[in-house]
Amino acid sequence: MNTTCTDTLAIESTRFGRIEVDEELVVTLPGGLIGFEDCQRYVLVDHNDASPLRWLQSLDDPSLAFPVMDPWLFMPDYAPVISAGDAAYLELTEGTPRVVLAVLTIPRNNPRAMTANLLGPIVVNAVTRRGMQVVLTDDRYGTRHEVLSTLTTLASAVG
Amino acid sequence: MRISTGMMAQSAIANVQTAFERIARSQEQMGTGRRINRPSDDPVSLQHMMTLKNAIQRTEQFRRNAEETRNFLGVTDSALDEAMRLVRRARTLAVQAANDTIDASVRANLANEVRGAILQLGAIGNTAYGNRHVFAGQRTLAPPFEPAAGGGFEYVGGRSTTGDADLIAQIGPSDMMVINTTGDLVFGSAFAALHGLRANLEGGSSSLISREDLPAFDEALTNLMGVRVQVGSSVRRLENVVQRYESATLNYTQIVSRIEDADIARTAVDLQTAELTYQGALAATRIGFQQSLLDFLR
Repeated sequence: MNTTCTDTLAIESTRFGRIEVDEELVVTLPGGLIGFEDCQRYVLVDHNDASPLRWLQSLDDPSLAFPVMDPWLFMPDYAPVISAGDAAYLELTEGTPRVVLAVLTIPRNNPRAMTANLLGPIVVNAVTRRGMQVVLTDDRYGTRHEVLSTLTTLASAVG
Repeated sequence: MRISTGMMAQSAIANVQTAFERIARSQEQMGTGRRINRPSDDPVSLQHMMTLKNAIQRTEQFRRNAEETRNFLGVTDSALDEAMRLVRRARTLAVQAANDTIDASVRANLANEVRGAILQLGAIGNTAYGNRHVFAGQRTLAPPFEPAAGGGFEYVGGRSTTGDADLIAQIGPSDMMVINTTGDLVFGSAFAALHGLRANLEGGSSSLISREDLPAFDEALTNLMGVRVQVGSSVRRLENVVQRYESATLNYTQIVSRIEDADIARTAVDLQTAELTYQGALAATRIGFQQSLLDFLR
């Protein structure tokens, strides 16, 4: 993959145009995302104020942006268990603030069928801002979890 | 480590807290870059796209290898399970036979059963996945256990001494694993125990059965268990690899699928609408819950 690492924190992203980022907002995934091991620096971008949709925009490759979402917004009892090794790598203890993101797959021309990868969440230590895409060993979660139908079911179950 | 808010969300109130906390938390902890107002179509260059599509193909190939290997190990594990059951059953025969008061006809029946067990173990040792014999080392095409004189078997598969023991699967660009154990190492001690028991039953020696055969069966079981543990840990490693490849494929696919501006806009709105409906339902539940709490206090 073609990657250019620069020190500047303004990026001309291919999809979103120019994005300026405070250095402290950079998220580092030292192992990259799975399949994109060369791209390690990202910034989390809101799609807009109202939508839960967010983007993990690569700072190393302007054309890479992954749609992501807080998994607890559609699965309140999501409880991924990460290995002790991964937890140590991320310097996570029980109380460490952290952010978990599920990568969305949005089918072309059929966004309502969007799915979330709950088996490979991105876990970020919010203090060090270092993270990784974890591979869970957990049969409760899949790589293609339907998002909208889950939200609809949840709403009708509660309401 | 369990990553959750420390609750199982059994109750609606827990749901409310989690959902709201999560929003607040990720906003304040993460901070974000500038908001986006003009997503554009087709952000990925053609050249980049080719690289990614190649990566998807490579990934797919490794994923297939890993799955194939996992199936191979699954067949291996079932055979080991069967072998352990057979050896345990033979051990109970040995316990029976170790009893001095047992009469000759019973002894003859037990010897018969043990002869049958030896044949069964030979069949287990010749287990194949497709046309590959899983305990044959690299000589996978032929059954590794050949019937030999005296009702036993001879191991004719690959061995480390002949340099054809290991089957190696490539499950990643630089990730290889040995996926087999040769039949002589897996079943050698079990065959020895069965043959020992048979000989002592035929020779009518109860004391030798308890002195030699019972410990031999225990050793055979320990050995089989050890191989099974190895297989189990290989299976877990492979499952992890397969899941990694699934995530990689999804990551690639999302970038290659060239979702368009219109799709992205709809995604954002659909998510927002569904989320609002859900949060609305939650908020209503919370009000209901608070009211009933007040009722209770009154």
